[in-house]
Amino acid sequence: MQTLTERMQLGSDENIIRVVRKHWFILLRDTIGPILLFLAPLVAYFFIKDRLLEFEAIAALRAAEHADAALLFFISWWGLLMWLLVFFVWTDFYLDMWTLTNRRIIAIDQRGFFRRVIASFRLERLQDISVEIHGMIATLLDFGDLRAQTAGHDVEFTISGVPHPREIKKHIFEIIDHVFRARKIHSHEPKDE
Amino acid sequence: MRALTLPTLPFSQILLLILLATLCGATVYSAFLLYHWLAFGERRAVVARATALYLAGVLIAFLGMATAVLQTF
Repeated sequence: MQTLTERMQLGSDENIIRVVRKHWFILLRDTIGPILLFLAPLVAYFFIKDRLLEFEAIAALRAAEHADAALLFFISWWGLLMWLLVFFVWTDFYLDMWTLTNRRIIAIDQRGFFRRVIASFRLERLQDISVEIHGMIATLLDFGDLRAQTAGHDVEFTISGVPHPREIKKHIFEIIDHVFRARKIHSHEPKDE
Repeated sequence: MRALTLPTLPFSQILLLILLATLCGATVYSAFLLYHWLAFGERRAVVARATALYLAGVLIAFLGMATAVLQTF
């Protein structure tokens, strides 16, 4: 099976310069819920079991035949569900990205299993990139949103929660400057008669 | 008139049914997940590591469930 880079069908003189993904904190923020939900029955069993057994219904269930097997089954089943959920979140995180090449920016937005938005724009169409950093954690860990505005259709491309957004913005403009300078030099070269 | 009685399943068979249903669901889900990683993942090494970790977790969960079912027979 072809990998993403092979599927992008880059031009013959097109190279990937940088791949931008979301900050690890975004992954942590989105997976903390399933992780806590996974741990909840284990915590309940090991730490507040005695208190739970004070309830008659729970004590009756605990005394029932195959209670240990049922408990093991439930914990394994619940753990599996949360494990699947964690990897669903990770898939969303891993497949969302911006790929910067020396010719264009390819923005990929994965939304669940069945929705995937892939957009690309050439560097010469880029008008401006804005950086937004919201909140204390984002400021401390240096991550934020990048918005690229392109000429023509007033289309905005956004990737949220990327690490070091100002540095990425600077890098993109450096790439653009470098590409345009190279083209200018190339166009001023004397042509062979 | 005879009252309608629903057949009751033993506890072990109920657990076995849930296990089989979960197995079917998890297989379809895993197929989607692995397809996405292989088709849209950028680096094979990352995808290989994620696949190994994911499958290990799934295997442990199913071993736990299977052990529980066997204990009830």
